[in-house]
Amino acid sequence: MMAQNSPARYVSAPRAGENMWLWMVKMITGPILVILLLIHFVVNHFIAETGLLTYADVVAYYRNPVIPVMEILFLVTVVTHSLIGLRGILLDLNPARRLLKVIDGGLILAGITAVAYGVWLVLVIVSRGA
Amino acid sequence: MSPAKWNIILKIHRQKQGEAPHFEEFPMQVDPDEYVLDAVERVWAFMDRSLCFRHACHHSTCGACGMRVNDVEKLTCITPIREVTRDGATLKVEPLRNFPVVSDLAVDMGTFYSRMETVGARAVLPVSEAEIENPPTTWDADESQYIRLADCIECGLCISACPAAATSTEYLGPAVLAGAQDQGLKRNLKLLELVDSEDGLWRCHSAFECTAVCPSFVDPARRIMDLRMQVIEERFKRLFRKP
Repeated sequence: MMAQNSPARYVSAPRAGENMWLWMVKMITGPILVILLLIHFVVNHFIAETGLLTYADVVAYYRNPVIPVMEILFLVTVVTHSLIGLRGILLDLNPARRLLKVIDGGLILAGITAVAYGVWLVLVIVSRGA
Repeated sequence: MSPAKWNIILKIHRQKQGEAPHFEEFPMQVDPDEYVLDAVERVWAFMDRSLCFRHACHHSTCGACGMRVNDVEKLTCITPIREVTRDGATLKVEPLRNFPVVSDLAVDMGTFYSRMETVGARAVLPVSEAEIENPPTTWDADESQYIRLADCIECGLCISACPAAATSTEYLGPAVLAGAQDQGLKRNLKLLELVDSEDGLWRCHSAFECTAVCPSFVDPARRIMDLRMQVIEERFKRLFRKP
């Protein structure tokens, strides 16, 4: 009876797999994302000559080695931050443990696919300017 | 000269066991400088003795009379009617959200209180550890002999206002996490596993609704953010600490 009335029974045992790390990654990618987005806008629309209106302009623009690196970093940051945010919203729907694993797998797959496709696209553009 | 009276309609949430929740309206004349709890008590005293609600101290110390007044969490004993309605209008009173309703306006706070105990939330604390505005640089005597009531009165308004608490009954909630922060990981390292978990710190979406409704200026949201920093500091220390 004593054990039943102990306060601890009202607090669920901490479940493994949820801790500070994802939150930290989200917090770190947030400001990086804002900075890269700003650079992306300013460079693409104000600094790049003619404002990158044609495919040839983009190819020429990507000849600068800093640009592909920055764009890939931007892509990774956006994808990471947004998918962790989406996961936070989905967690509020209280999915079952098994469903959460499926969601996690789906989000990781979506993230890897998006980044892989983006990197491939950047490399194709870079190769055309070489 | 007595102040002008207002005619209002008190619209009260009613729900007895097994009944569907519904509202009942009680027209009444009030002094606008009376408190919402006074009007609720008047219903009980003169109109319907079956009305169930929680109250005790009438001066914002016990935290028992927390309710939702026109959709906002309020401590009804210190909420003047003038601030929440007008002459001729309706004043809606409901029980707190995110707690099981026992009857009418009364909710079951048992689990919440137990969670406060589990994190070791302090009812009183040494003045030297309290957050006091403009604290003295030196104390006249040994400060450890002085104790102070904790700011949190465990009214549950923050839990009711919290959107994350609405998504999960397992979430510890703002007051409990604020109680853990008040303890601090340095003082009670056992809290680490409890708060660094799915139902702990990371479920908070930083809506700051808890801070907005807190009648005691505990500022639970800021405390949650501070506790996150404590957890991160501790986890990083453990990464580089020899086993």
